Amino acid sequence: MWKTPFPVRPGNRFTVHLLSLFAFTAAFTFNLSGQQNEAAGNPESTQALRQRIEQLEAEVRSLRALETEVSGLKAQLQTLTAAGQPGLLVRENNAAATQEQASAAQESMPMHPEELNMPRLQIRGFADVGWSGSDQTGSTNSFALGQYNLFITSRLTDRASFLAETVLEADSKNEFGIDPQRLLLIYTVNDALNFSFGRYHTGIGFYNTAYHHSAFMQTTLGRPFLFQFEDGGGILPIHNVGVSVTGVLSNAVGLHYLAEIGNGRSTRTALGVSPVQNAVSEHNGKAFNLGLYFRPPIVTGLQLGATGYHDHLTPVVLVGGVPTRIPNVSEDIIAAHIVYQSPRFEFLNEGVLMRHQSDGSPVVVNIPGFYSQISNRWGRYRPYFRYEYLQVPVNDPLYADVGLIHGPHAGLRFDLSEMSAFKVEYGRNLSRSPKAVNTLGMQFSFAF
Amino acid sequence: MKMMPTKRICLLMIAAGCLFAVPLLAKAQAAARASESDDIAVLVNASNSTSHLSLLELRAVLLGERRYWKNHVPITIVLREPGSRERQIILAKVLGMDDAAFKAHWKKKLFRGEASSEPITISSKSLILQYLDTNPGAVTFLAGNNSRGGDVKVIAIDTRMPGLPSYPFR
Repeated sequence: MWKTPFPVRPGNRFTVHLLSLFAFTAAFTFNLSGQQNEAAGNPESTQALRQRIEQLEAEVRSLRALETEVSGLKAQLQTLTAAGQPGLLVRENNAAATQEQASAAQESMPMHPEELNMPRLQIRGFADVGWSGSDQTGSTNSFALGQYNLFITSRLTDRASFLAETVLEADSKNEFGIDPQRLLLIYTVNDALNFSFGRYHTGIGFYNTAYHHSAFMQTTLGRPFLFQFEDGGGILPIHNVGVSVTGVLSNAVGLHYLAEIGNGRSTRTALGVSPVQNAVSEHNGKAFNLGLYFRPPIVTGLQLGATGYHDHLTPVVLVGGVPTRIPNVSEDIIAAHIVYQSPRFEFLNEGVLMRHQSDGSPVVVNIPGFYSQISNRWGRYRPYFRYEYLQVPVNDPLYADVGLIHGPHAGLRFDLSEMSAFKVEYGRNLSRSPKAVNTLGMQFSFAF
Repeated sequence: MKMMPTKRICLLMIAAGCLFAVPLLAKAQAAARASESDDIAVLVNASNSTSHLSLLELRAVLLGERRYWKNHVPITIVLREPGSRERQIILAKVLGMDDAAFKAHWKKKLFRGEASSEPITISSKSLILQYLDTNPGAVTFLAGNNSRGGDVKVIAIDTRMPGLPSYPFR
């Protein structure tokens, strides 16, 4: 006969239900207890709590230090009042209120919303000093002052801001000159439309808009020759005066564009004219530059893109000391880049093709150039290596004197602090000349 | 068979079960609240129409690649002081950066003219909330138990709100 653990009678059904309810309650609470024990025993939560306690203790210490400072200032105030300075008597009489107001002001002063939304001028500076030498015949080794750069920004409104990069620099005659290398009014409509009016770095490739007139902000001692400044012998139109429009076409894929129109580069520097047409253009035509580049959000630090630049130049050269017009030259510059930069590692690659065609001539002169630069940071040390190449054919109407330049540069950057760095670099420059030139340079660069 | 002893036993067992369950339930709720308070919430002004961001969108905001909300209000990033838990976690989990790398990134942005100002640093949580109250474009990151109050709202990240086990900033 089937036996039950206990006789199942009508009265016992109640017992069964009650026992079931108890079993369910016990099972539920035991399960919950297990989860809590798991959470309570979670080392991450314990660690987070410890960190929070340490934070709070640090805040209490700083508040106590501030209280001590305020007490000291109050004592000084009382001393000055005792010395008979009437202006302070009022403050002495309201010392308690003053201290309270001072505390409140201290709390609110830097944080006042109106103050935070007002124009804010900031001046930062960059400078460098160095030494360089080479085995080129006729050259001398020299200590040199680099570019003394005053970098000024001011947020005028939520959408308008001002940027200026004013550089003092000595030339080959040891004379100092002052140049507003960048002078821009920037107006932002939204993420897709940003206007910059004034003098800017032409958006050709990557290096020219990433690095400006600060040796501290770039990894290497000097710029790639391809992107050398005009007054340093560079062949690209590094600076332009006009309007630059940039924006984001797609946040999802990180697609950006740029469109620029400006005076372009002067080709009358033989007459002593500045290579950058700051105020007067040589001709009515304008230079145009268009570009697209990607900064994919899934790979922070990666950028790849291409730009196309066009200008129509009206060169004047000296022939026997006499200024002579030569045929106008159509100039096209196509550039492509792929770069990756992280806090520790960088790999920069750019290629440029400059094409010159004189009006009325079927001959197109191609000027190729590229550089590749790699570096990695170990602690404060960042060794780097760059190889660069630029070839200007002998039949180029404008820059034939540049010829062929290529070779490696290897160096080491040591970050002395967040605001200063020491660099040492060796370079070997090869050209059409049979003898290569070896260079050695050292530089202290800093921000202030 | 006598009913009384059995009933008595059952009632005693129910009472014991309830006594056992109630404090454990209370502890469980407290644990859930503590977990939510550890989470770092992303806060914006209540007038901001944005209610959620993906992690990639938040990354674009913190890197300065995205400078405007959808309603064309400029974004102002407000962070706690360097070394604070909120700042460290957000920079590590969203950008994979430490504070030095983050500062260097923004210095470059300013130098290139791609930004007009750096993110604001405020050490006091009450002042952060005060700033958020009055600046429609501000966005900040605060641990959950200090984020309530004022004219601010919490936005979801990858459709997850603070307190959920899968919330990314905990």
